[in-house]
Amino acid sequence: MSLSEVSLFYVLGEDPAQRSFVRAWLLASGVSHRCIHTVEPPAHAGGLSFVLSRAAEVVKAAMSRARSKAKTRVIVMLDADAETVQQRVARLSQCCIEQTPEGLEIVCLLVPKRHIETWVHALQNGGCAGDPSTDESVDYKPKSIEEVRAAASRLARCSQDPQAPASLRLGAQNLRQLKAG
Amino acid sequence: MFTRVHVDNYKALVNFDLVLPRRCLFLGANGSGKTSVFEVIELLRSLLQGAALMQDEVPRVSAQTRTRWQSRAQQEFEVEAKVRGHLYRYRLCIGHRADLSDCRIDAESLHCDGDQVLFTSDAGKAQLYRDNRSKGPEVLVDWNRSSLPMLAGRRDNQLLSAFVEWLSRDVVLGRIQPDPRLMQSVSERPSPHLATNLSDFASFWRHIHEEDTEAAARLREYLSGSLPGFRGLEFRKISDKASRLTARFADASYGFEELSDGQRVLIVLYGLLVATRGRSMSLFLDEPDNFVSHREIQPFFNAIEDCDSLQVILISHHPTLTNLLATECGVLFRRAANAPVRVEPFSAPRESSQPVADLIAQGFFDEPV
Repeated sequence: MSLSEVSLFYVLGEDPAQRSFVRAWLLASGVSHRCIHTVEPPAHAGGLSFVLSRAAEVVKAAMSRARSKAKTRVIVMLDADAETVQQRVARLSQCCIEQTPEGLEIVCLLVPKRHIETWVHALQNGGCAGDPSTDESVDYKPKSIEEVRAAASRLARCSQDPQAPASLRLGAQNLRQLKAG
Repeated sequence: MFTRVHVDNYKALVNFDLVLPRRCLFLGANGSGKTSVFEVIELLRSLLQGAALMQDEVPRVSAQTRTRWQSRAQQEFEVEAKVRGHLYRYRLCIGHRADLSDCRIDAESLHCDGDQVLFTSDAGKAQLYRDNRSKGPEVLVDWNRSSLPMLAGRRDNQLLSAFVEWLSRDVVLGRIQPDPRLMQSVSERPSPHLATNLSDFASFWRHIHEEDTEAAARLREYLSGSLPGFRGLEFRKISDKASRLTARFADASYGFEELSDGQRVLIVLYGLLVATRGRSMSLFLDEPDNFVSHREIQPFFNAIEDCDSLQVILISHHPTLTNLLATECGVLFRRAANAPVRVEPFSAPRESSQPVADLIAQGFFDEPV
């Protein structure tokens, strides 16, 4: 299966930057605008609680669509924040399979450590991880949507570099698996 | 791009001031003044591209457009725009005769980067200034037209020339409110300009088609999912000058007028994106979602989002667009009965977890009765 065979990607992210990152990667991979559906939060929602609370519902909708209609995939992005990437992935996976145990088959999880700025910073610097002593929450300034999109389009090129942050390599691997079907 | 608009004494816009970012969604009840702002932009665009006041093809500035509860004869308009790294401020003052039979341009001015004056016009005389701030020539002007588009670019007034060029080349599209029922499929000649209702889209597309050889392919790429089997737009010659716009599909071709309303609107909306690609243009889209199916709204907005150089100011009541944009770049228009328009950044009640469109539908932002 290639990405072009997927008729709809649900994109669930904490904030506009994450949703733009995923959308830009999909577009750079040849997916058409029409096949991307971003799940928008209600007023004043967003963040961790929004993603965790909506994940099960979105995966259920996507499974239902995939069964009745055509190939459907879900890409969920969530910052690791103060947790480890593994802890956050486990928590997110649990939410995704809450209503549909087989749901993970169609889900791709992206969890940057510590937040998306870490990935954007690395992608802006040729894929290299920052100084290990860096406190990402303090040292990496919020990125503009344009910077985020430009970084996403470099993902395929930079993410296999052994110097890249581990969470970025893991995310890129998940996206490659998504492409490979 | 436009960065600010100021209007005084036009309909319900009294001492009205609004900052315009790269993306902005106007929200508000019917009659709250959203379209009036677009009308002002359209008026200024027409005048600054050479149209005359009181002409039928120009949005008319009749005395009836003055604020009803005011008696002042003058209307004031001001826009700021960022062009090639400079911040321009253009001001226009239109005066109406006491018997309300006629109006004229009383004063005009163009400033750059704060206080540098480039051009002033008052009582039928215009004064030009060079880039080095010295006085240039003084000329007599037509009271019925803006003088700016008539001024020839010269080496010593490049700042002024840049603004005029931006207006004539990059702001060819002002207020857009697609009305498929008025769209013609026959084009007499290519034209870089568009009517507000896009009735002349065929001529506009003919111009784009001739200028940009990749336009057709890009349009096909945008629309292949929305219009199954769509292969592109073509022109079929029907006389020496006239051509008919035709949509080619995998199995047949149809005259543009034969397509459904929604199909035509989709084609013109994506056609606009193709036409504006890579250019620093400003689009003022007035309810572009009318006629378009719900399934197409988010993809169209996504496509807009990827046009970095494009400024898009939207009026929409569509729930999807409202939910997508209100919290990020919404501006709420409010107006009590017979009172001026007020605007504020949109902000949903903290305690609510409902989608913004639902809050609007439930009257959260209604004016107190």
